[in-house]
Amino acid sequence: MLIANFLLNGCAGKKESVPLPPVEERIEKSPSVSASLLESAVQALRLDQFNQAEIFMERALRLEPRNGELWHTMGQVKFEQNHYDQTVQFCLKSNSLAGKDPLLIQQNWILMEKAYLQMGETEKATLARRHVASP
Amino acid sequence: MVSRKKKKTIKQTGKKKGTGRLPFVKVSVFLLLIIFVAFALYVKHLDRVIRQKFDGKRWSLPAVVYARPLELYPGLPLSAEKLEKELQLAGYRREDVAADPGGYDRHGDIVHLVTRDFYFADGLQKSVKLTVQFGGDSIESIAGSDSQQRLSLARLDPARIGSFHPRHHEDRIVLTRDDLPDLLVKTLLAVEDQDFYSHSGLSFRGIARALLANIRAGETVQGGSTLSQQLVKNFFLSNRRTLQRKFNEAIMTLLLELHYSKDEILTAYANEVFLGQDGARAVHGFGLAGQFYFRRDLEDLAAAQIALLVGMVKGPSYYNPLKYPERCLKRRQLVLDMMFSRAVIDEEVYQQARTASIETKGGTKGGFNRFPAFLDLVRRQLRLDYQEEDLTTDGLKILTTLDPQVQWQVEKNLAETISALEKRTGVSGIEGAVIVSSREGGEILAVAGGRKPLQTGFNRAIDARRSIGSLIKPAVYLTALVNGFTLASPVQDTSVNIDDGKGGTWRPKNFDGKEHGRVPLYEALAHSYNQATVKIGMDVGLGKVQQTVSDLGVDKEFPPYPSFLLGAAAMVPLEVSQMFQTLAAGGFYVPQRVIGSVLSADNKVLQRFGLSVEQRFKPESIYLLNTALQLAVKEGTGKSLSRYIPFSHKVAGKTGTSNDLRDSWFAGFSGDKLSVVWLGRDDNKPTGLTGASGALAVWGKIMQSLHAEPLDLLEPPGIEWAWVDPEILEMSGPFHHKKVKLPFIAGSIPKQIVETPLPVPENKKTDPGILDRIRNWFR
Repeated sequence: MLIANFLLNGCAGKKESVPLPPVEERIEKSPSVSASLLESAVQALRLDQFNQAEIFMERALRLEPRNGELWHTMGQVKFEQNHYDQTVQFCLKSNSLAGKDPLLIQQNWILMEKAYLQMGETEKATLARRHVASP
Repeated sequence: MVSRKKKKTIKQTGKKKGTGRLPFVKVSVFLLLIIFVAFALYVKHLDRVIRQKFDGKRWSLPAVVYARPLELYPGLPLSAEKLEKELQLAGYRREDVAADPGGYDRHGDIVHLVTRDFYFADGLQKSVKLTVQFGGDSIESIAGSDSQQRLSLARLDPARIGSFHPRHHEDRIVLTRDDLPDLLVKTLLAVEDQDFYSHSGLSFRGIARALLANIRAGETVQGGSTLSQQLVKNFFLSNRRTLQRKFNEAIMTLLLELHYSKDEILTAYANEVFLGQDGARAVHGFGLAGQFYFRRDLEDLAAAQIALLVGMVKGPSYYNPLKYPERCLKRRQLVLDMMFSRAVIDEEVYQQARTASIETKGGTKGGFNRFPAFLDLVRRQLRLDYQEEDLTTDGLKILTTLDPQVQWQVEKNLAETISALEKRTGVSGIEGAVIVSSREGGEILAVAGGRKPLQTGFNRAIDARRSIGSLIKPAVYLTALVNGFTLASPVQDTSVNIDDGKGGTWRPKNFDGKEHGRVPLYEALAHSYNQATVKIGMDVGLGKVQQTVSDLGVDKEFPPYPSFLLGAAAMVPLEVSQMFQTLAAGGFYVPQRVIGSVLSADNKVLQRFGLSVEQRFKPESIYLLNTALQLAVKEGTGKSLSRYIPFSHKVAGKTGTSNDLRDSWFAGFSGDKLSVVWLGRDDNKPTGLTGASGALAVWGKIMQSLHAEPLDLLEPPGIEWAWVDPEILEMSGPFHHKKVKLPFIAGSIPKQIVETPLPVPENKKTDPGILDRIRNWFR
């Protein structure tokens, strides 16, 4: 989840600012087998290597396919690749696996709102914004 | 007329007289000129042949297909035995102490291995040394052998599982001049062509020397042809011993030497030379031969191994170390003698090499198409984007999703279970097909196209178009749930007469021939009641059900007949698998994939088949349906799965049986995998098997062997639960004697049952007897 925040705030300077702990700290805490791949994906995104990031995330999802946070990060990758339709779909998938993680769900809606705006679908963006307010 | 003829005769006579006057020298010069021009034209033709081949693409490189890379991490459920089996498949060699890339050693629960460089879609992964510690049937820890640093994840280079050859089935690993070890080059020249760097293509000294050596040895130990001649013969000409062929060989050799450097010729020779046969695949070049016979890169070969390969040049079949080790050993010793006498190796190496046994690794089967059904699927997908020629000539690298560990279990359990079923039923000729995929990602992990895994030809997983029977029912019930039904909605499982759309009346029956009266919707699905299903389907509309099937991923037209509701529609196992994939992935359509990426011969990513998803159903509806499919396994037609997988795993699944027991199906998913199994006969005669008594057993054994993870359906927001008494179809308290707790979409729990319960039909027992229960197991 926090990775998602990082990405939203750290990439390409076009995300809203939400204070986040450093990536390394979060990855250290994560017992997840895919942590190193997530870290690599984040690094690749920092360097605007979006296709590389996508490959890292696919590997991560192969190892942990039920991890909603990974699906969100994949949505972020898709956003950076300008694949806004897929951004929405990956966020919806993330939501379906988020369980009772309101922060992740909220971040998904934030990203979906941005994707809808990019696609010029303002009504859907407005709906997404409402979900952000009450996830 | 007469006078005209005379004139003509006189004229012709005059001509003859004139020719006779030409001097003999002139005629000779003229003839020589013609011969020279003809010769020049012929040489020019040969020159063009040589340059075209050499300047263009010298070899047709088959596309090479790889399995998925094995990712190792602590906690991975993988035993040392299984890792070893996969390493063997990937062409690793077992050693006392693993030191070089492609080697491994195993001491009890510890495996040391050295991976090989490999280009993935994300770039080059360099060789690393790993120590893998096992604890029982899983990995306990992984460390870099050099640094002893603990690793959280390590990716191995994948096994080569097949290749797409052109018609002549040549395979090779193309090397550059720098890739050829000095020892190999020196040995090759010492044995085959000592004057290679000084002659101009033909060597009369070489012929004389070979003649002498052969006379001395009393047998042919040395050839007279230069390497350039051999290359020309292999590359351009036939093996026929005719004067014309010899003539062409000489001319072309000189031309080759004229146009190309010695190193170019040497490298081409090293890549071209035929060194054995691997089934239908011809092993060409020293690079592939090193892998095939020793599972080693060329640079890692010892002197004895190089001597063996060079010795084989004389007769790859005759000196085949796998078939004729003694003959091969004798030849190798002779080559070692030559290496020593010509100062290629010193005495120490010579003595050591002479005592070495022929340690071939049995021939890798890496290039052999070990998993033909899966490769067939790969090839069909590739044909959508590539020409056949691209696949057989461009050296593409195809990185697939095949999981050998899953594939082996599928092959074993399918074959064994079919044999057992044939014994039990007395029906022979039963065939089968299986597809296993990852639950969320849609990656196809294994494919069986028949009970004999190595058999090519009819691939039932892709081509067996058969009635799917009750496997259609999840689509019918999902349509109902999307359109306002709940799992507790009362439905009538009673006789029904329907216009069959063809001018007649259709009267579907239940499998047990009984009517079950009013039952809750989930029970009708769990017990696969036909009459209730038809009523539900006709109620929501056939068109909507067909739309659901389409949304689930089967994008094709079906005839709009009501019998569609009971699975009269024919599908291939792959289509069924895609349909259930959408259910398994929580209502998200995930295109099933067999290929991850395609790389060019020089390791550039040409194409990626990335993960994509599309939500096609609301999570709530899918959640209800999947819960009902869990109940189908817990208490319905899939109940006998408990022989293989504990109830606590809560797997979801559905049996399917077509008319007259011609087709036996089971489709279902665990927490991590989806699998579809079909059994039937190719002649479409009855098998005597229902979905439960046939395909379910195969499914259960496969998933049991794969240690399928429990299925924990994640409840989406907006779900409420209520106790339901299926007998009276009213909400009840938790202490009611016969109750089931069901999920509902928020707000859909009925406040009260509006309908008055109908009388229970005569043939419906409130408590099923033992015979009914037994019948249920086999439904």
